[in-house]
Amino acid sequence: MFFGKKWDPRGRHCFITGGSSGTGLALAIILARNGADVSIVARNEKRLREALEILEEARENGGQVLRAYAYAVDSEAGSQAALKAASEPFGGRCPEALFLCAGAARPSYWVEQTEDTLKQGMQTSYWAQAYTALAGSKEMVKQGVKGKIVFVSSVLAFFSMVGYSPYSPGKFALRGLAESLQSELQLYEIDVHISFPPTIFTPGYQEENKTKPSITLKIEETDGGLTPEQVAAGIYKGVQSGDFHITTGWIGDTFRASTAGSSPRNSYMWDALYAAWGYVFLPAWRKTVDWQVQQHREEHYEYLRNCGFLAM
Amino acid sequence: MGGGLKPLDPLTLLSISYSGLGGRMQSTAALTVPAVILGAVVPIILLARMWLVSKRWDPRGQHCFVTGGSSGTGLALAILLVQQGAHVSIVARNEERLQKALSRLENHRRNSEQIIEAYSFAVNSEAGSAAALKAASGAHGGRCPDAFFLCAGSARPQFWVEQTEELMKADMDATYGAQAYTALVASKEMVKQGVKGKIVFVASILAYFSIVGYSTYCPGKFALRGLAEALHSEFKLYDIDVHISFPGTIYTPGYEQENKTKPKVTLKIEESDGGATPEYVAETILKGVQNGKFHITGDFIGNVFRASSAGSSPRNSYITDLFYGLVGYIALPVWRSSVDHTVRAHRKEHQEYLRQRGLLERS
Repeated sequence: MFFGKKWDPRGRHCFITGGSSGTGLALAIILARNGADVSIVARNEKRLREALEILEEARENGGQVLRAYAYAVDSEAGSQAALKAASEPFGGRCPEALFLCAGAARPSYWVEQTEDTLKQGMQTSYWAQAYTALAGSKEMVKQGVKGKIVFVSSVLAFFSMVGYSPYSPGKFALRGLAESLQSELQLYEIDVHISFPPTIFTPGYQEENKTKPSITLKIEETDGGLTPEQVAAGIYKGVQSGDFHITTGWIGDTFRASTAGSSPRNSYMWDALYAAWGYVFLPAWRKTVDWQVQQHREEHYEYLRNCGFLAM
Repeated sequence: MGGGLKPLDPLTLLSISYSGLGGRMQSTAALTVPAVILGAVVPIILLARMWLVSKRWDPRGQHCFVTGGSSGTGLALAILLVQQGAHVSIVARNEERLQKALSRLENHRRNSEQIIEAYSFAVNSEAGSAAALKAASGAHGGRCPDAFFLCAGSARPQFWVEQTEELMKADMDATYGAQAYTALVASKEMVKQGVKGKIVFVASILAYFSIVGYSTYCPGKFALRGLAEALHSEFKLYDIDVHISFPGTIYTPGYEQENKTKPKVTLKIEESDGGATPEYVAETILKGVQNGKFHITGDFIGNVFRASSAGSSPRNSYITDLFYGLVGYIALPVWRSSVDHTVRAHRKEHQEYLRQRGLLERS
């Protein structure tokens, strides 16, 4: 714990999904600056090209392989194709570290969901990372690469609240997957990490807020947030230190310490302090959230009548 | 005079009593009357609230809708509910099993008013759940059930590297999809009809942690937990209660099936684990629902995990959870270390297993 060697990305091939913007791009820049070979993957070709230019500016040495690939990774086939393409400059050797930053949120009321929207929510919060983890780890196992898989979940995998029913299930599912793989991939000496960022100030966040339920916005009024650069720096630090659950900021740390259960902890000392604090603070905070929801009832029923869900 | 009379709260009583004194008695003795009234009234109000809150949910006369209700925990729950005087609708796919289950339920009938029915539907889709709900409501003049016990689901433990997109989707469907769409349909109907009901999810202790072999199962069970967390908050808009149960191993025919294909290393780790009968699990679920518990765990290990992972989730008892949490803080990492050791010791045997199945061959 104290004397372990820090993971060094220099000369290692890092594969980043959601790598053309937000946290993914910020991570790519950090890794490039530290001498890694970086492959960024996303759907939009134009954004990828722009991202690659930014990445080139972060180049640390002339030998680094910095590439961009346009693929949709939310299917096993798409992930496999992206991995194959990224492995080509390396003679077919698969990437050593997968940073799975692909994903999006679309908070809305539960009673407005349908099977389709729930499936969509699961697609952007869970499947966007799960298939890449599958394809990537299978390849690592076949090639005997003792790599890393880094999931990017959310603090909304530690708790949830009004408005996040299309999103939390998928983020909790990523956590469940990470828990399983952290145990199972010890069979192959592949490390698993999972990060739980809070609000990240990206264009995606602006989009999200356009359709977010007003009660959710109200509750989040006083919340802070982090920039993609801060989140990426936290993920990088956590991966270097070999942390399983990675959180940035005291709120994330408090939640992490209070929900860890049997998950390997990074520091039993610090976690004890955060958990003790959380034991008092979290229920108090939760009560205020519940109270705000209850206060919102009348306005909400008006909303349901206006959108035709309830008869006038 | 229009409008109703507002109930007398302590403050109103205080102001009435004080003004009734006409402000004539200026001495501090004037304060004793309102003080005595407050001193008597407030504790009575607080005690009354406590009593009301701790009033147990009574299934008698409530319409309970049980998915996965023809076998295992679902059937055991249905039997308990019938015994306590509820109307019960059990839902499952297999008609034959449903009929057998229905006759068993009839044996426990308490009174002739109870409506006890069985419906054959696949509930792992919105359409299927909606159809099942409509059918069950039909016997009640269109009124939707009061309580939904979502016991549908199954497990298929297997190694991660043997998965495919198809298998993963099917597993998510069998764990999360089996309950989420019913919850969706049920809650929409309850809100439309103004029914202040209950939704009871059945997750698993494997929604608190995971080990080798359960990458096919945990994501869906954790997803149920995430959903329950979101809905527990959101349903304060509608006065609908949310409960979620986390059973460990349950000795059912499904469990026998599961063990046939379970990875050896997983079986080895679980060697010393106990388990429970469906009847015991059903009892703990019903008890938890009656006592208004959000997270429901039925045994010591479940309690330890629950207390150690609760975070901001409303706790049932902050005092006993402290005890369980402390036990967990020490015991769980020790247990986890031994699990990790077993996994690492299995490496060589596992490589052989992969070779035999051709899983190490590059495409």
